[in-house]
Amino acid sequence: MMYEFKVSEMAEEFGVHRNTIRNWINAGTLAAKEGPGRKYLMKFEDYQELCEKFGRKPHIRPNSHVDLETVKSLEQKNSELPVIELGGALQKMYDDPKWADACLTCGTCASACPIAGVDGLDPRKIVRMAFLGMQRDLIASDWPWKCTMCAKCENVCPANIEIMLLMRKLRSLRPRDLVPGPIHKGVITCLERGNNLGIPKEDFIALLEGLGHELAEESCPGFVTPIDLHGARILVQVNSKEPFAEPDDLKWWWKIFYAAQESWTISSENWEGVNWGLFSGDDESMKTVVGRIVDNMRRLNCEVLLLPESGHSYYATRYGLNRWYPDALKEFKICTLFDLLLKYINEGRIQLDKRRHPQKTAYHDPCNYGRKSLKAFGKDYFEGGREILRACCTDVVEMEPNRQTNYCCGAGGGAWAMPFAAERIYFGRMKARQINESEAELVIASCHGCRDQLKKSLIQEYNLDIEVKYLWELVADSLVLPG
Amino acid sequence: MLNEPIKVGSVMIVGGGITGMQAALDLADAGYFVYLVEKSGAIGGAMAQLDKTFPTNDCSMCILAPKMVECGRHLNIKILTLSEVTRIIGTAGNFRVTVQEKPRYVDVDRCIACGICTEKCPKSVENEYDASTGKRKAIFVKYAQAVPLKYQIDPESCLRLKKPGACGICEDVCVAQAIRFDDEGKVHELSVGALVLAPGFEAFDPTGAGVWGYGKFPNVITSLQLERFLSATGPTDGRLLRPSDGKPVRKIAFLQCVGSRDENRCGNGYCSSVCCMYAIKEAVVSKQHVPGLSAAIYYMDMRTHGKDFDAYMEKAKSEDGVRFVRCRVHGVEPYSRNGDLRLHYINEEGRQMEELFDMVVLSVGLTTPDHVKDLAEVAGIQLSVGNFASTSDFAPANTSKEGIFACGAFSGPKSIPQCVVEGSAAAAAVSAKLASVRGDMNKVRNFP
Repeated sequence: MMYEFKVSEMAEEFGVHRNTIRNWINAGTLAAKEGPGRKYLMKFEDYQELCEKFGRKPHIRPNSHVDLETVKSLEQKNSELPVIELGGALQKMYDDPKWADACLTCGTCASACPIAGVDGLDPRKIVRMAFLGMQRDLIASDWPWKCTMCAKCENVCPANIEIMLLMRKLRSLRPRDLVPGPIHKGVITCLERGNNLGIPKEDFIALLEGLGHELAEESCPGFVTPIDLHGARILVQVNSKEPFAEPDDLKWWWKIFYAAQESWTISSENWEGVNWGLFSGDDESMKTVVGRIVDNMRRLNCEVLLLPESGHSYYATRYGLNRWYPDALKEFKICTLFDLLLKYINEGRIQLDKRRHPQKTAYHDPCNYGRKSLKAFGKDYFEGGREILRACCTDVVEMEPNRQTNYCCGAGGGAWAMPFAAERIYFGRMKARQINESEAELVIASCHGCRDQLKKSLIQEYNLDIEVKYLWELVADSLVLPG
Repeated sequence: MLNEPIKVGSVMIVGGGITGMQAALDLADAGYFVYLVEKSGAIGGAMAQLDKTFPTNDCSMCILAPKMVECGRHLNIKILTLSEVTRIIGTAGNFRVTVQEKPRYVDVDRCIACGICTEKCPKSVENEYDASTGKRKAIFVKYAQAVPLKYQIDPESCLRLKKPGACGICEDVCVAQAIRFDDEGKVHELSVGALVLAPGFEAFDPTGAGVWGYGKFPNVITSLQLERFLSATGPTDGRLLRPSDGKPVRKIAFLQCVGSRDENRCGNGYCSSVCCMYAIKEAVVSKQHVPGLSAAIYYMDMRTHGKDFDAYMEKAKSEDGVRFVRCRVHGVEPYSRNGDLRLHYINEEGRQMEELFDMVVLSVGLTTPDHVKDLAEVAGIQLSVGNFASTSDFAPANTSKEGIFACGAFSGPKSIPQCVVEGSAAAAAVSAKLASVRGDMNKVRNFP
C-alpha cells in the first residue's frame, strides 16, 4: 500500500518546517521517494511507524488497515472461540451480507457466464464458498483473475447478489506479489512515474509535439498539440498504450477536436488515462490516480473532464470522483466520449459523411459503459453509441443479445494483460459467434480493451472477416474537414 | 345488545372465478342472498382459459361449467358483470356498497346469443381470453360456455362507439334488436352483511424484463398462451404449432420462476406456488398432443407440495419422459433467422451446455393486478409483501378488516383445489358472522 503526499502537507501534519521533512527524506529517516507531480510516495507501514514514533494518529488509513486496538480485540475473541475453517462470520469475505446468504443456488449466474466450468470456475460455487468462509481457497485460486468482471452473472441474479464486488474483493485480498501478470506492476509504475508504462515526461511531450506537426501537415493546417494549456475547456487523459505503441491512434481524437474547433488540452504530467487499481482490487491506488486527474483539472483550470475513454477507466474515474472527490464535481463537469461526440454531431460542429461506411456495421456494448455503468451510476450509453453509429454508417445491424445482456468481449477485468490467454480466447467465442450471426463487416468498440481483443485476437482466432474500429476512429474517418 | 348494528342477510362476493363461485354457491345454498360481482363480461375467471387441470389431467371446462351454470340459475345469486366496487361504507354486519356497472351496449334481456353480430362485425382485435394468441371481434361473447351467455361491445375497439355515425352493422343485423349504443351503465347501491374478496390474479408480463426475449422472438410464449394452444377452443384448435411459421413443435423448453422468486427482474421475491405443477402438466399434455415431442423443464427446485402432486412429477419423469434440468437459464437467444431458439445453461456437473428449441415457454408467476390493489384500498384492507391480501394462519379467510374476507389467489398464489377450499372456508366464516340473519334475505321459490 503506497501513501502519496506533498512535503508541505506532511510538514503541516507533523508541525515542522518543510525543510525538516526534506532533511528527513534525504537522511532516510523518512523512507520516501520522489514521485511525479512534486509529490512523494512512501509505504503506508513506514508512515504508520513515523506517526507512532511521534505519538500521532495517522490522518489517513487505507481500506485494508486494521488498527492495533481492533486487532487486539479480534485476537481476544479468537482465543475465546475455537477457530474453524468454515464459519464465515469471522472471515473477511463475510463482511457484506448482500451476497452469499441470499443465494438460491439456482445457477442463473453460471448459465450466463461464458467461462463457467473452465478450470472449475463457477460463480455459483464461488458465492457458496464465500458464504462458507473458504476464503483461503478462493484467494489462492485464479478464478477471480480469469473472471472478466463483466457482470453478466450479476445482471441476471434473481437474489441481487453482488458477484462482481465479491470477485474484486477476492482480488484485493491476494498478496500483491502474487497478483498475476503485469497488473500490479503497472499500478506501481503509475504511482511512481505517472503512467503505467513509465514514459518520461520529455519523451511524451516530444512525441505529442511531433504528432501534432504531422497532423498539421497531413490534414489539419495550423494544428498544434495543446499541452498544459491553462484555461482550456476540456482536459483529455491519454491511454499510455497509445503513446507507447500506437501513437498515430491519438490523431483521431485530435482531428475531431480540430474539426469541432474545441478548446482542449493534455497535461504533461499524470496524463495516464488507465486505472489498473480497479483490476487489482487496490482502492488506494485507484483513488490516487483519480486524485491526480482532479489535480490536473485544478492546475489547468479546465471546465470539463472528458472521462478516460477505456471502459474500465471511465468506470474507475467516475466511481472514484463520486466516492472520494465529490467536492471536485462541484468545481468542474464531467462528460463521456458519447456525450461529447453527440454534442458535436447534434450541434453541427462536425460534418460526417455516411457514405464512407456502407458496410454492415454493428456496435459492441462494452460492459463498463453498459450494464455496469447503469448499475453503478444509473446511466448507460447503449443508445448513445448507436446514435453515433447511425450518423457515420448507412447499414447498422445488431448482435444478439445486445445492450444490457450483451456478451463481454472476453478481455474485461484486465484479462487482456493477464497471463490467461487460453481462457480469454475461449471466453471470446461467444462474441465471435455473435458477430458471425449478425453478419457485420465492421464492428465498432468504444473501449480500448474490447477493441484490442476483437482486432488483435478474436479476428485471428476465429477467422472473422471483419474490420474493427474505435467509435472515435469511426467518427474521425467519417469527418468532412472544412476547406 | 343495544350497540349491535342491524345485520343484513346478504353477502357480496367480488370476483367470479372458481373461488368466488364456490363461496357464492356455498352461501346461497346456506340461506344468504349473494351478489356476485364480476369485472369482465362473464364469470369463470382464469380457470376457463385452462385446458387441463393438475394433478388429475381433468378437462378444466368440464369441472368449471356446471358450477358456472349453477351460479347463473341460482335463485339467490345475482351476477353483476362488467362491475367494480367503488365504495364501501358501514361496518361488519351492515355494509353499504357502491357498485359501478359499465355499459354492455347489449340488452341482456333481449340478446339470444345467436352470434350473427360477431359474424358481421368488421373490427378484429387481440383476444384477452386467448392470452393474445388469437383474435376476437369488437362485439363478442367472452367464450363459448360463458355465463351469462350474452354478447358485449368493447368500447375501446368498436368503430361506432369511437365515432358516432360510423359502422353500426351489428344493430342492423341483430334479429332481437338488442344493441344499445346509448347504454350508460348503472350504479348500484347495495346493502350487505359481509364481503368476500376473490378478485384473483394476473399472469406476470415478461415483456419488460428483456432477457427472455418475450415480445421479441415470436416462439417465446407464456404458459397461459400455451394453455390456449393446447386447448381445443384455442387459436390452433388444440394443435401445437409455433407462432412464427406454423411449424409443428418437436422440441419444447419450459423456463421456471419467470416473475417469481426474482428480486432483480421484477421485485417478486415470492414463490408463485403453481408454476412447477402447471409446467409438468403442460409438458405431459404437450407430449400427448405431439407423439415423440421432447420436453424439458429448467428449474431451480421443483415445488410439488400438494395432495398427489409429487407422484404426478415422478410419473412425468419415469413414464411420460419429461426431462428435468436443474438450472435457471439466464436468457433466450435466437438461433439464426428460422425462429429456432437457443438456450445456454450449466448442467449439474457444472459444464456448459447449449440446446436448440422450437419453442420456449415461460412459466410466468402470479401477480396482483393494479385494479385489485385499488379494490384493497377501497375495502381498506392490508396487503402483505407481494401485494397479496394479508391474512392469518389461523383465520385464513379473515382480512385486517372485520366483515371483509379474502380467498383464492388474492390471498396468495395457489392451485385450483386450494382455491376451492378457501372459497368454502370464506363462506363458512361469513356464515358464522351472519348466522342470526340467515334466511332474512333469501328468496324461496313458491310452487302452487
